[in-house]
Amino acid sequence: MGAGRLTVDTVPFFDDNQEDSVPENEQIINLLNDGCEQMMAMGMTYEDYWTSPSDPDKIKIYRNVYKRKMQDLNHQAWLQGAYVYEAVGALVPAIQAFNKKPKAEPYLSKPFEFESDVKDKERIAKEQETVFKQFSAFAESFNAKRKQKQTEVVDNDRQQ
Amino acid sequence: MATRLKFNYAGKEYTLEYNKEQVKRLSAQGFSQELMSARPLDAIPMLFKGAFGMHHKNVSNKVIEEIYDNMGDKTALIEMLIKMFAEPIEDLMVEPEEASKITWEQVD
Repeated sequence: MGAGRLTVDTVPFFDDNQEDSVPENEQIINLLNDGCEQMMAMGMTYEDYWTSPSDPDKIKIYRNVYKRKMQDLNHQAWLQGAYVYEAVGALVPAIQAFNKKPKAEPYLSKPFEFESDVKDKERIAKEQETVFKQFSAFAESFNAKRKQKQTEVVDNDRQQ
Repeated sequence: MATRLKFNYAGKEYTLEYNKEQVKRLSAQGFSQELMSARPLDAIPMLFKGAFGMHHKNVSNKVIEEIYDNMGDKTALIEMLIKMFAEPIEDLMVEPEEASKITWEQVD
């Protein structure tokens, strides 16, 4: 256990005095002020927070948008890490000890593709394949029918 | 949608409503539920007057008192004012949407 770290035993489970010592009206003021700081961090303006009519949906939407932004930010950080990993990986052969021909691998020629782009390409390829198969089947049956008609005509001619 | 109270007095339309600014102002003046229980005769006029702050800041105390005296069904009025006062605080209690944690199924 590191020095100075709080353990479960050192944190009071209930601190009765703390809540009761603050009068109710001050608790409301503190709650509203904290809410203002929180909502301003999420992009709401000071004026909007204090003067707009009560609207829980608005607060909910601000919070959900903020959550999405944080998720995007987290993904961006992860993506940056992935690019750094690729770059370092490409340099490894150049700096490897006992490597007779040290040469860096080329960096990625294009950015990573989005998962949705890959899925779209797969979907389009599948659709094209299905259309091609359907067309081939149609062409085969059409040709087969045409051949059958041709043989029938030839047979009729021979009989005549 | 915020709860509003509308009425006409002496040919003028009034809308009573609370936003966070007015809730904070009234709380700073000492209004609380404790005061409502301990000294309702002081707290109720405060609560009524505070509801004018959002849309009718310049109405005099005298007019507000006159309006209050003429208001019918005071019990319902006070309940409505308490609800209006609580709404801006309750706004802050909403939680962001999360994926449902419990799945359920029908059992015959």
